[in-house]
Amino acid sequence: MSFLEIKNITKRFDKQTALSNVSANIEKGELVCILGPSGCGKTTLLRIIAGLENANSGKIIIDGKDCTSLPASERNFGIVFQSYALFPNMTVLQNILFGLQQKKSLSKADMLDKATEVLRLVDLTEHTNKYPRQLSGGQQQRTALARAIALSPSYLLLDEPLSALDAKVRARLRGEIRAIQRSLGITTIMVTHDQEEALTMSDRIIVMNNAVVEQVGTPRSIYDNPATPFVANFIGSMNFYKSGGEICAIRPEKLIPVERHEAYDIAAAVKALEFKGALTRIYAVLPEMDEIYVDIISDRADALGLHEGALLFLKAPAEYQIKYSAKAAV
Amino acid sequence: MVFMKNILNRLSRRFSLPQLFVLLAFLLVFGAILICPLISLFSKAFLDKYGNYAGLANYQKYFNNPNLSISIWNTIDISLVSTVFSVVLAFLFAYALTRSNLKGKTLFKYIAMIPIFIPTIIHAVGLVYLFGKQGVITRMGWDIGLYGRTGIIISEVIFTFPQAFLMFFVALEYADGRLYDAAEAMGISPVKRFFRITLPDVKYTVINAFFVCFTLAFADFGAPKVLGGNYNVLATDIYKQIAGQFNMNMGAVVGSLLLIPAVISFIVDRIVRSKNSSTLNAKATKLVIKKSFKRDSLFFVFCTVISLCFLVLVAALFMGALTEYYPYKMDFTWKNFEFNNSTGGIGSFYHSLEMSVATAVFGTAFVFIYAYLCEKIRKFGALRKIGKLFSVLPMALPGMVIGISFIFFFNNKHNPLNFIYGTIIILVLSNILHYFSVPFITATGALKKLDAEFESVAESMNIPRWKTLLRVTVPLSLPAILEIFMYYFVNAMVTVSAVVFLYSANFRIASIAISHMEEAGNISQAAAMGLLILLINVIVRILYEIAVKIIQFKRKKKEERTI
Ligand SMILES: Nc1ncnc2c1ncn2[C@@H]1O[C@H](COP(=O)(O)OP(=O)(O)O)[C@@H](O)[C@H]1O
Ligand SMILES: [Mg+2]
Repeated sequence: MSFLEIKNITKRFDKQTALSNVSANIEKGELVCILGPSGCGKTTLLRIIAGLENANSGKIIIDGKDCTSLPASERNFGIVFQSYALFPNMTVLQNILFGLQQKKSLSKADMLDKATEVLRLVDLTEHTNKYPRQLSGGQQQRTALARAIALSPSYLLLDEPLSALDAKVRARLRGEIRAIQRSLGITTIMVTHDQEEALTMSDRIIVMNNAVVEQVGTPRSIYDNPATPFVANFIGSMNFYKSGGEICAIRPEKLIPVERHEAYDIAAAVKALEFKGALTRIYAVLPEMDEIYVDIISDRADALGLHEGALLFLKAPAEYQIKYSAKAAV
Repeated sequence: MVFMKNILNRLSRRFSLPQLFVLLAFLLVFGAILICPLISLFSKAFLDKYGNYAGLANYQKYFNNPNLSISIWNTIDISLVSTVFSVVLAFLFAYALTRSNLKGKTLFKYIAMIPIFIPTIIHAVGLVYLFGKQGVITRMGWDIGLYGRTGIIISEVIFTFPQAFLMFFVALEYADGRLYDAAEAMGISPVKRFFRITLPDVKYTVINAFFVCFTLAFADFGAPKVLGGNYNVLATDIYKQIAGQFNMNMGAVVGSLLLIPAVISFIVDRIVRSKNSSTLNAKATKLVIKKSFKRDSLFFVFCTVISLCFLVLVAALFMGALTEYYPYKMDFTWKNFEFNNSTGGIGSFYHSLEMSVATAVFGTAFVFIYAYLCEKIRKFGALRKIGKLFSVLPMALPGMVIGISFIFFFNNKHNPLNFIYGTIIILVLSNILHYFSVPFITATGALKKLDAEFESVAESMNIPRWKTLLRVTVPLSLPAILEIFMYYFVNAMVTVSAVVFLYSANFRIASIAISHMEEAGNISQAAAMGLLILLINVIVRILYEIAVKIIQFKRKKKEERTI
């Protein structure tokens, strides 16, 4: 039995369907990313898991208990929003104590201990008396995280926790959040539209598109075996071309350029070359007008004498080819 | 037992019953105060003296009596003329303050707001000192024939000018500098720029201001009461029918007529609001006002003349209040501030303060919680929609209509709330309702600016709603709360129209006392009382400005400290 079971959740707003028969399981202690383009229903799903929104049909089962209509206040989770939603009239410490004060079982000293502990965990001990506006984006993010874990919740929900930050801070915080999550062993569901974030941070990924789940699996299995052309295209990059009534897909790095006289699978006309330093990206057109691209070591590209209009011969190893039926449009 | 209690507890939390109950309670209370009296009003209009159904007989009687129905044309006449003057002057004044480099903008702005701080009866009293039979200007040889149409029109212009000015000021303050730069680069003349860019930008505000002013003038009671003479208008007719002849049914007929422009204005406002909201552009740049000595000088002269008019009016009140017996004995005296007890005495001023503080305290709390319920609850969308609809309706209710419909509803032996009739409670209630819509918009605007996830986070931490409201929402909305408090206080201090039907002989208030003083010929005491009201309102306004400055200062300090 999984820790958290999402069963056939459907959610409609006035005009549109935000979630259509969505199901997934989440195991205890793992970090799962809900990944998908903006507007696909990720936040809605997260809010339903939190009890902040009610589904039209379907069930949420937590720890074997049907929690579908349990109010948020009784579900014992921590949440971090994209906006962080820090109370601007309270200091970092007050933000964290605000929730702790609700626990009647804790003494004042216990509360302060607990707050200090989580602040140490997110490395904010020097900023406890600052107001949110005095903090950098990354510090605000960590304050929100500290507040969310201070009540020792049984699971943690993160809605695009890093998307408001600049690239450098984001990369660092990915590691920090993952480390904290591991050390607490807390079940975590994180929403993101950033495939790199999902690939690097999660134990498993739930890929969503247009209100439905496209695929669930480990980052590796999703990358290697994308179940649908959408997943193939959304995670990493993918070349698509027609072959015998089917759509063939292969990752650019799996294509091997060869000399004209060697055995090859694909012949294409070079459309453009893009020198990127160590690698050169080659854009090419297949006879059926499908466009593909390959990244080749620059020296190798020179050796092959590639230029605009030249012919490019490629080997597409069968084990890396993925076939989709022609109906499944990209 | 404990088991049952547990189940009940769980059920109530699962379906957010406490929230539902509070929301329902607020809707019911507000709906009852808003709608039940109106039903009483309309049912009275269709009944005869003995309570039998009369159909349209009352209306027929009204329209067949030229002495009565002439008031309709008179009211339209004065409203139309005063509105045109008011809208044009207010537009120019606001334009000068927003689109020129004129000196002393802040001063001009506050002077333009003076009329808001005094009852309309006092505008009229000021005019009597200037243009009345013994008026300062009349004695200098210029008799404008104040009493009747002329006087009412001037008085209504003074009354509606600040309202229109504030609307235009807000609308003209925001301008997309890019449009003007582009137009100038294309060689389009300033006059053409005004007609092609500025005017289209604010055209909805112009329409809205027109209707707002028209409605205010249409239903005003204070000015025609003092200056009307034989020139009858609807507001004074209602008063005569109800307070003079005790003809409740005819009063109800006139009251329902008074509602017509207000309802039209209300509909126009709705349409305009929906069209106006789309014009704000995040990419807009600030308009840089070009140097122009000629333009600035012209506007300076214009603004000075308008401001002088208001200042002279206030000066006339000072002159009347501080002299023994104008114009015969011009010695300085404080004795006009010793008010005769027969007309209400100084007690009426204290009563006004009491009523205004109560209106501000309870009104602010009610509006804010009401707006909070409509804005920050997640569930019960249909109920919250009804709540929002209710909130805008008071805008369409002239004070006089609220006044008489409250009499019909509460002064009824079968009404369990009958006991509040004749007490301060009914006055406070009518004020809260009368001035509800603007504070509601203020509160909603402030609440919309707060992160919608504050409540979600608090909920995840199992913090009760009321605690989040008190510790987070209220402190963050403090400037808006103060603004609402001030708005309610100032309006309660100056209002006449609703309360003129509702005060009781042992709880007279200042604005009513003024009308009695004026009736009794104690015009200098009326002026003195008017000045007291002006004084207290200005003090409250200053306190408000200081409080807002302190809040801003503290917030800034929070941002600066350490780092
Ligand atoms: N409260 C709401 N009312 C109406 N539509 C909504 C509401 N919340 C979300 N939606 C719609 O549901 C869809 C999914 O939204 P959301 O879950 O926020 O997407 P994501 O988080 O994946 O970007 C969107 O098309 C959005 O417009
Ligand atoms: Mg989202």
